[in-house]
Parts: sequence; C-alpha cells; structure tokens
Amino acid sequence: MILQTEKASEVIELLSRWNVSMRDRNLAVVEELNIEIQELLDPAQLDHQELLWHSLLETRYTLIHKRYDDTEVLLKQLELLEGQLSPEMAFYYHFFNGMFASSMNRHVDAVSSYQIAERFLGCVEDKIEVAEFYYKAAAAFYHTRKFLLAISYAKMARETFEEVSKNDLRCADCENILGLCSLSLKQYEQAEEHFLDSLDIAEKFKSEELLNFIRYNLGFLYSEQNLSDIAIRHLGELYSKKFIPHKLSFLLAREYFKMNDKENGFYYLHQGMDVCCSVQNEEYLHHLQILNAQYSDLPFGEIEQIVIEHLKYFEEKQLWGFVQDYTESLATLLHHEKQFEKASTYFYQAFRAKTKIEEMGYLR
Amino acid sequence: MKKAKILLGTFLVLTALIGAVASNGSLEAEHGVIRDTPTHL
Repeated sequence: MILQTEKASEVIELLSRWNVSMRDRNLAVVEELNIEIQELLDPAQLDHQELLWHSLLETRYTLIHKRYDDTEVLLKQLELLEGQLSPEMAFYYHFFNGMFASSMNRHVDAVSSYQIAERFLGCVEDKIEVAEFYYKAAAAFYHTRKFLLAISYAKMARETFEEVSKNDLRCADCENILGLCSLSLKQYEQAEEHFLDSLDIAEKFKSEELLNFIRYNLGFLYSEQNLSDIAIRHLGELYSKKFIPHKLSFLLAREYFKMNDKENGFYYLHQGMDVCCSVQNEEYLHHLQILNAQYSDLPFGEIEQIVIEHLKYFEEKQLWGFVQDYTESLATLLHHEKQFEKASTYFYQAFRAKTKIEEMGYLR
Repeated sequence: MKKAKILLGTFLVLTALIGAVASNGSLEAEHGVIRDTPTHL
C-alpha cells in the first residue's frame, strides 16, 4: 500500500504495516498489529479513506484466517462502495476477490477477478505484492487449464521476485508452476527440469514444506507417463506425512489400479474417501467415485451412468478440464464397443467442454 | 461400491448441515499442487 499523502496519517502508516505483514504471512506481526489497530483505532474517528483501507485489510485478515463467511460479507459491503475506491484500493479489492474465489475452488471467477485487478496494477508500487499477484494469477490460470497464460504469469512472478526480494524459495515456487504447466502440455522432460531446479533450491534451503510439494508433483509427473513404479515410490514416501492426503490417495489408487493391483488400489481409494469426508472435499470424492466405478468390474452401462452422475458436479463447478477428460474417456470406451452414435455424443460433449476452456481466454 | 455410496451420502448430509463446502485451502481443480504464500511463524 502506498502512502496517499505527503505526510501520511499515522493510521494509514499502521494499516500499511499490517498489510505488508499479511502479504508476507508473518503471522506473529499480523496478530501484534491487529491488536494495536483494535486498541488505537476508533472507527468513528477515521476518515472515509482510512475506513475503506481498514475494511479492505480486514478482508485480507479474514482470508488468512480462513474465516470465509466473514470474507464474503466484507467483500459484499465493499462491492457497494466500489465507485469510491481509489485505483490502488480497486486493485486490492479485486485481488482479494480473486483470492477468495480461489479458496472456494471457483477458479474461473478467480481468473475474472485477477483480470480486473490487473487493470489497476500500475498503481501498485509494492513490487513484492505485484510478484504475489502474478504468482496467484498463474496458479488460477493453471487450474483453469490456460497453461500458456500460466507460464507467462509464472515467469513474470519469478522475474519480479528475483528483481526485488531475492527470495529464492518464491522463485522455486514459480519453477514449480512452470513444471506443472509443462507437464500438462506433455513436455515431460522440460517439466522434470523445472521440478528438479525447484527441488535443488528447496534442498539448499532445507524447506521441508516445499520439498513435499515438489516430490508430490514429481510423482504426478511419473504417473502421467505411466511410470507407475517410480510414481508410487515418490508418492508413497509422502503418504506417511499426510501431505494433501485426498489428492495423494487418488493418485496412489489410480497408479495401483494401472498395475492391476486391486488390493492396494481399493485400499487407497477407501482411504481417500474417508479423508474427503473428514476434510470436506467434495471434488475428490467425485474423482474417487468415478475411479471406483472404473475398476469395480461393473457392466459398461452402469459405469457410464455413474460417470454421468458425477460429471454434474464438475459441470456445476465449471471444472471443464475434467468434464473434457471424463467425457473423452467415455467416448473412447464406447467407440471401442462400436457404439458409434453414443461415442459421438460424448466426443461432442468433450469438444464443448474444451470450447468453454477456450472461451475463458477471451478478452473481457 | 456400497461403502462409496454411503460415504458420499454422509458427505452430502454433512455439507448440507454446515451450509457450504468449506475450503481447507487444498481444494484445487487440477491434480498438481501449488504452494500458497508460505507462512512465517
């Protein structure tokens, strides 16, 4: 946050420090300043600008603490005041809207918000914030399968991080996104290079957290190439650490099924379902249900019905990438069964899902 | 299969009771994982 006047008010200066601590997720300082702000600031004494900044930063505070009901209320209040926001405030308003949408797994909405925020990016002088913005936008583009845009934003994030903070770990995070995009574009060698670069940095700084992310993605990389043994070795090592267990269980189950090891496949599948219930992750429950149907020796018609039932979730959430994947798989199976008319219907559905993804790249 | 259906049923009931799908910060559309801003404690 830049200081608005030559001699910025103490309030703005205090809010600015609070913002920086939240940007860096420096939780001890965040809480310290939150207490200070509560003690010192009397909302009745604040001018309009200070009140708006306060509301904006309170929104960021609720995001950090995952108090999403409160985030939603604050964002709705700010929406009514949108016309009164300065360009810099407008950036933060849309940036936080995007962060909120990402947290809710609404990645299409997140991309829309980030695209609006970007129009005001020129008003943001804090380069670390700019780098964080590029990073979050890259992640949202990755999740909506706009891989070329994700690559472009991840590169801008890395360059900005290199330029201002020399924060090697954040650069390693950017390498991770670049690796994932290369993987999705089936540039496996390039993906492995990015992941290994990131791994080197994580090892150098002994960042166990980042190491887990990279090891998972390396396992995912080998899984996508059907190198099941090596994929299981990487993913299995993380299993005892309970690292994102719903995703890990899904990939492990899928890999064991590929190897025709149904015992282990169903073991991880059921573990994944239990985890999804305990962490309230509906998305992976649907992935696991489809996987379960595929390997339960059911008649084809029944598998088709189960997939159709669970596809509704992905359509509702606009997760068009998965709609494309699953309808393509159904279409291919039906083609092999020589049910060409039905296969054609599913191929068309897959094509429509792909079109939806492309539409998200249109200029707004 | 039966267990899967029971679990989905339980999940949907739980979700309805809570009122919304709460995010645990790890809800992600693609299978790859991306680290959010790391926390400094």
